[in-house]
Amino acid sequence: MDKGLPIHYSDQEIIDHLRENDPGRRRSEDQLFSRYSYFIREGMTKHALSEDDAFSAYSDSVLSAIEKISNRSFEGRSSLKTYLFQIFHNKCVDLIRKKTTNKGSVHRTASITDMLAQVSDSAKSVIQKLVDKTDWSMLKERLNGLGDSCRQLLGLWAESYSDKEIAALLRYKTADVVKTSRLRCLEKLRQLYKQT
Amino acid sequence: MDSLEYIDNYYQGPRSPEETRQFEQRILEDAVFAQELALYLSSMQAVRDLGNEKKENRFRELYDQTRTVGAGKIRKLWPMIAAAAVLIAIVAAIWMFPRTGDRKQLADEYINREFTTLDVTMGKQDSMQVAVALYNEQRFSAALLQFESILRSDTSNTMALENAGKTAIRLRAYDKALTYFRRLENKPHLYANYGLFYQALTLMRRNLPGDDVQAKRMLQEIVGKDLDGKADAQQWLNKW
Repeated sequence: MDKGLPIHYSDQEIIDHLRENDPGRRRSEDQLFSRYSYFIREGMTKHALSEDDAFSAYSDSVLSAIEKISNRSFEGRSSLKTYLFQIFHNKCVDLIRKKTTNKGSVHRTASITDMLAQVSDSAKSVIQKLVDKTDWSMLKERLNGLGDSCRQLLGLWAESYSDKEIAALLRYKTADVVKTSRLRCLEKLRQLYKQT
Repeated sequence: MDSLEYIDNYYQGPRSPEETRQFEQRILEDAVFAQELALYLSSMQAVRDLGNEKKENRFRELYDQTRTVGAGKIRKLWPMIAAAAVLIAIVAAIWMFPRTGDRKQLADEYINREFTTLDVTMGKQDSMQVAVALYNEQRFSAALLQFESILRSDTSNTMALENAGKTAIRLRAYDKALTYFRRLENKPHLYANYGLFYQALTLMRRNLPGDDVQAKRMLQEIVGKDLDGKADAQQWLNKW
């Protein structure tokens, strides 16, 4: 599907593909990662991180940038390079201060907090406490047991694809069919998880 | 409309201030609804995490490819690089090697003395005992898998963390060992915590450029703050 697209995207093209969730998305993600992967070296020299740690900080930064661009939290006020470098720098500092003992959970908390951005602190705190009790490994195990079609459907949903976009990509008849199937998958996941 | 659909509608479409207020009200007043919402958000995050894990693997492949290509370019410059390397090696051998070699040797002596076997925990046969037995039979790869499995189900198991780090050292997987010992160091309220000391030990054994500086800083912190491992740290600093 990507055959007709240019091999090298400009930064603006990368942003556009990530925002539009079009077929160039995957290539954009890869190009974003590769374009500034020399930051890893900088993490090693400037922050004295091991290559593994610097890679991990950079990889996390790219994932975070992709998420922010996709959900339009990144408004383009700075260049993509500056934006990514700022995230990377913060992650390196976190690593050095050893605050980030569990990177996954920190990233997780940030994402879920974003989803609750509009509600009051008291409501946020209620949900946060419940989310903290989640058995993540069990939930992922149950997710793996859902079957390919559900996983694919939920995968696109979690990446902020709209039902209309999912319908076009996965050849569903309408966005409503996607929604019904998606909610059915979520309900199935809920039941599998609650059985434990 | 059931809760799941209501929650999904809230996140899928534009919402008015009134809708947000009602949504918030339900969170605060309806415990079952709050649980449904938490699971909805956790599910989305779990799916996202799985997707991110796949992307991270893809990024790792891309990075490894870049390094290989970079190495290809460097190959063309090999005569100059080789000459420079020889010169640097001679200087390093004269000025540095005896000292860094000593530190590596100190670390080796400690590892051979203290990490030969792990203590067997008392009680019924459990996964920790199995892992320790594998370690003591010098089946380090299998032991590490077992310790990692324990950590997956119980991330706060400090004994598994310490033992996983020691096993990684025996496997010469120093980056991994550092990660485990760093996590151990950050566990508060332990009767004994050798996390920082073992990190210094790992760095001395790994002996990459810059490791000695970091290791020394850690040993000084151990002595300065009277942390576990102080006696050995002081001895090593005296020989630094």
